[in-house]
Amino acid sequence: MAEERKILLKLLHILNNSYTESDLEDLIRSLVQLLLPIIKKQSGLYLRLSSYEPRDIALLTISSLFIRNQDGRFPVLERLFNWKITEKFLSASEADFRRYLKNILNRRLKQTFYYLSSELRPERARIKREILYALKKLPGCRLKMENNRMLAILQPFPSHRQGSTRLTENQSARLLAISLDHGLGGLQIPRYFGRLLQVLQEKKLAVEVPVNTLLEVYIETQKNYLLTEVGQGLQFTSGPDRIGLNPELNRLIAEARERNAWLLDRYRLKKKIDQEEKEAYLRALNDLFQDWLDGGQERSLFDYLKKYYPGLSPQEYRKEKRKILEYLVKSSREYLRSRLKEEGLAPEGPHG
Amino acid sequence: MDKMMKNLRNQKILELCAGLTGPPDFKNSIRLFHHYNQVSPFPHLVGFTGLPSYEAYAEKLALISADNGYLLRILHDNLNDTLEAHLLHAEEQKYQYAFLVLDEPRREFLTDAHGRVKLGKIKAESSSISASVCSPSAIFRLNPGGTLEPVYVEENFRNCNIQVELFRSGAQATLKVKPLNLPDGTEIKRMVLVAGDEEETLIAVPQKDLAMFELPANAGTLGIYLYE
Repeated sequence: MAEERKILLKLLHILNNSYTESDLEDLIRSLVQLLLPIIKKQSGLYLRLSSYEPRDIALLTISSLFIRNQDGRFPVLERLFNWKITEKFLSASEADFRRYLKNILNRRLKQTFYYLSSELRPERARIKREILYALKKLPGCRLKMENNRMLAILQPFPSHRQGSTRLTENQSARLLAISLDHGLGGLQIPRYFGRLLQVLQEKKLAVEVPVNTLLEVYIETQKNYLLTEVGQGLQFTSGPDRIGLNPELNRLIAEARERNAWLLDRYRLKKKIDQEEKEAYLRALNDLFQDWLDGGQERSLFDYLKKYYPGLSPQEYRKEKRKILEYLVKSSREYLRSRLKEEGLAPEGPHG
Repeated sequence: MDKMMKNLRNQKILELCAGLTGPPDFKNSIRLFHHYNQVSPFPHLVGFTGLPSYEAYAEKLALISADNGYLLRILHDNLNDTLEAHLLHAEEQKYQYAFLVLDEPRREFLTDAHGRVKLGKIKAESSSISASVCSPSAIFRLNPGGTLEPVYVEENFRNCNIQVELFRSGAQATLKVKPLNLPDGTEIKRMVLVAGDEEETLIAVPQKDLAMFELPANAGTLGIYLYE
């Protein structure tokens, strides 16, 4: 039996409150084994885990799912894998459940990193070594000693070129801003400096700063990436990267989102809605897409919209908003279904 | 060497599994002994002299600690055919939110604010029931304003404190709890969070001395209990 199917059956035992110690043990082991490769893949992004081993991170992530309440139930686990979701996956394909499971674990992992963000300490010495190595290898970069300090020179064009500007130590904030503005977070050191050189070339800039300044800029960029990336993962409001891990699905959902924005613009031009309402509809639809990916619609459409429209009354919804929202949902569903079919991504099971 | 490290790492998973599936070996657990010739302090609950069929509860068993500090009364709920236990002690910190560990079947239960706990159906002869109890070593209260105060700490925990961080994401809030300045060699085996007026009790098996609780809505004042 595939591992995912086993996990599903164990979850079913937990939901039924008929689990045994060995069910729990098997489930924890399976989840840890699934998480470890994801952690190993991501640990580079998270600035080395310092005192935390990948296995510690896995256990921390998993243990937060297994917090019991006074009745011996696991509220977090049972919320993530509720009856509706578990029943759906019992008859869906294993690939669907695997995708959902990885999605959940990835999200929980990001949360763990976020909760540990105040404790994760970058390994500065190791990062500095890697920076020095990268700077020696990359064309356009060199190192020089000056007043007992190691300076890094990043010059992606000949030094006599006219109109170029050289950033020095006291302009490190500008260098950091360039790093952040051009989305250099989440890159390993060689790729980071490769991309930075490209950006500097486009901007006709050269850099001459101590290596320690570059180290700080790199670390700050990665920290910022970690917090914003995870922040998006945690916020249930918006964020194009939040949905799904599957790039094809992400692309189709992005298309559906664009299509909805276009449809809502038409409503706006006809003065049926204003810009604020358009945003509320889009965010509500975004949540709905996430729930579709996670197993199905969880709430009424009114509830999805009300979240971003706090003062919305049921009467107002019925009178003015329902028609628009229902049309957008129906149209999105049909659009996604046809696109999935075209791309050959539609699952074979009855829940296609 | 690699094999040894691998075994060590697997050991951690096993420990987590064991911690989640069964009671740990609490360091400050107190053994309870069968209490014969007892005189019930609560005659109205009773049944020492027989069990009338119309009584809702009948006392099945009483256990007592060696210093006579704890008294555990196990009652039989005749209506549901289940067992429930009442832990008594002169100090409320000792009977409130204390872990009761039964040896056979080996299971742990947490008492509520009144020292009461439902044991459910246990297939064991009353004479074979044996148990121990573990009260919290430290209790902290986190007020809605964010102020943290110790409510009770045992002598060896007098320098102990906790660090709490609250992470909010929309309506969902997560509380990270980390004990600080623990006595040497002390491991926190359980952390319990009591939200509001006993509305929700959450039991965590800490990893690397950390526990992350997803708080219920409108949690209000939080009680944080540490067990070694």
